Amino acid sequence: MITNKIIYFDNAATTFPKPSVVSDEVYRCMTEYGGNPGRSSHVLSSAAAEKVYECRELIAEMFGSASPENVVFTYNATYAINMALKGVLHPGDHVLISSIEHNSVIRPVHAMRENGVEYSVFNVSLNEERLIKNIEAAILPTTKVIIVSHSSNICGITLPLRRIGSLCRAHDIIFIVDASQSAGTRDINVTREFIDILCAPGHKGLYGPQGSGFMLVSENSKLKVPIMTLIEGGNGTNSLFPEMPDFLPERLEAGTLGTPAIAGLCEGIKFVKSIGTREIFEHECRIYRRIRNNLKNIRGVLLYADNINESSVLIFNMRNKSSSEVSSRLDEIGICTRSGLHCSPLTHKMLETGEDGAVRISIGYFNTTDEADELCNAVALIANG
Amino acid sequence: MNRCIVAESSMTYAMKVKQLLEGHSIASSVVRLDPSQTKKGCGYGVEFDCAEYENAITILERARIPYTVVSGAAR
Repeated sequence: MITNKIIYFDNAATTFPKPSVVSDEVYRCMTEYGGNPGRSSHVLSSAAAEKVYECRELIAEMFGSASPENVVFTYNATYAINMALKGVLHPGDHVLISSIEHNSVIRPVHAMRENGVEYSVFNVSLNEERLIKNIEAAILPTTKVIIVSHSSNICGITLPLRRIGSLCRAHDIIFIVDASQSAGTRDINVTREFIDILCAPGHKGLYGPQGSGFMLVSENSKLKVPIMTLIEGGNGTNSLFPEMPDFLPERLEAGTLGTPAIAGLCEGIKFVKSIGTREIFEHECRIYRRIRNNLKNIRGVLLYADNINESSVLIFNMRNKSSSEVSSRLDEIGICTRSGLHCSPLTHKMLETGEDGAVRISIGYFNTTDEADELCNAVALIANG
Repeated sequence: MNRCIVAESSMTYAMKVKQLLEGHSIASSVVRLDPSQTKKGCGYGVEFDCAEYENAITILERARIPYTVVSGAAR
C-alpha cells in the first residue's frame, strides 16, 4: 500500500481519488446485490438490474436524452468510439476527424481503411468561424460521419458542438462526439447540440470506476438502420434467435455487464450532480490558472496553448530536459503527472511540442491550491537543479 | 387481485415500463417469462393489477412502448 503523501495531477488519464460513495457502492454491489442483471428474476439479479437501469436514467438525463434504453454500457470511451464508428461506417464511406483527436479515434479510422473506409483530418482553429470553414471545406460527397473530441486531452481547446452539430444536420452527416475530457465538467446535451452518438468514459469526469464507459444514441438521431454489432453473444434477450436483437441497448451489449463498475458510476454521477458540472469545472480552472501563472515565472519552463483561460489541462517542457525526465523527477517527489504524447500525436504536432511530447498536468475536483503550489515549487526546484 | 402481464422486449424495457407505470401510481413488478410465453426465448414482463389494465395499456401506447399482452383483461 502506498502510504506516502501523493499529489495526483493525472486526472485526464483517470480521476483519482474517487469519492467514497463510489467505492462504497462497488463494495455493496459485490457483497449485497451483485447478481447478473437481465439473466434471471431472483432478488439479486433484479436488484442489479435496477441499479443498472438507474445508471442509464442518470446518464440519459445528464446528457439531454429522454431514452435511458439508448444508453449502451461499454468498458471505456475507446470501446464506445470503436462501436460507434464500426457500427455505422461501410466501405466507400468517408469520415472526417479533427486535428485534436486521440488515438481512440485515429486508430479505428486508420484501421478501417483496410475495409474501404476513408478518413481525412480538418484543422482545429480557436477562431470559430475559421473552424467551421475548415470543416465545410473538408466535407466530401461520401462523408458519412464527423467525429470530434469535445475537449482536447492535452490543452484547453474545446470545440463548439452545437455549431458542428448544426453543420452535420444540414449535410445529413452523422455527428459523433468523444466526451472523454468533458463529460462531468461541461454541459452537454445531445438534443440541443445535434449529437447522434455521444461516447464517454465513466472513470474520468464522472468519477466512476475504471472499466466503465458508455455510448448514448440520441433518440433524434438520423441513424436509419440499427448500428452494426462489434461483438455478439448472449444477453438474456430473444435467446431463441441467433441474431442480436435489433433494439438498444441489448443489440450492442453482449455478455455480462460490468455491474460493479456501473454501480460505482451511478454514484459517481450523483456526486457530480450534487456539486454541479459548472462548479467542478470552475474549481479546476482556478487551479489551472494558478499553476499556469506560477509556471510562467519559472526560467526554463516552456508552456503550450497557455493563452486559454478555461482549462483543466496544461502541458509544459523544460529546457534541456526530456518530458519523461521531468515527470520522473516529479514522481520521486510524490507528484503524479504524465509525460510523452498522451496518445494524441496530432495535437502535439499542432502545438509543436517536439518528438518527446511534453509533461501534462491535469486537474481534478479533489486538487487543492496547496497542491498546486507544491507542484510549482517542485518544478522550480527541478528547473534550478 | 388478478394480475395482468405485458411482455417487453428486454429487461431494460421492462424496467422502463415499470418506472413509467409507477410514475402513474400503478404498482408493478418485473417478472421473468418462459420462452413459451414470449415465443422469442427468455424474456421479461411487467405485472400489475388487472384493475389498472385499461390505464396501463393507454400509458404504454401514449409512450409508444411496444408490448405484447401475456395475460390481460377485457378492454
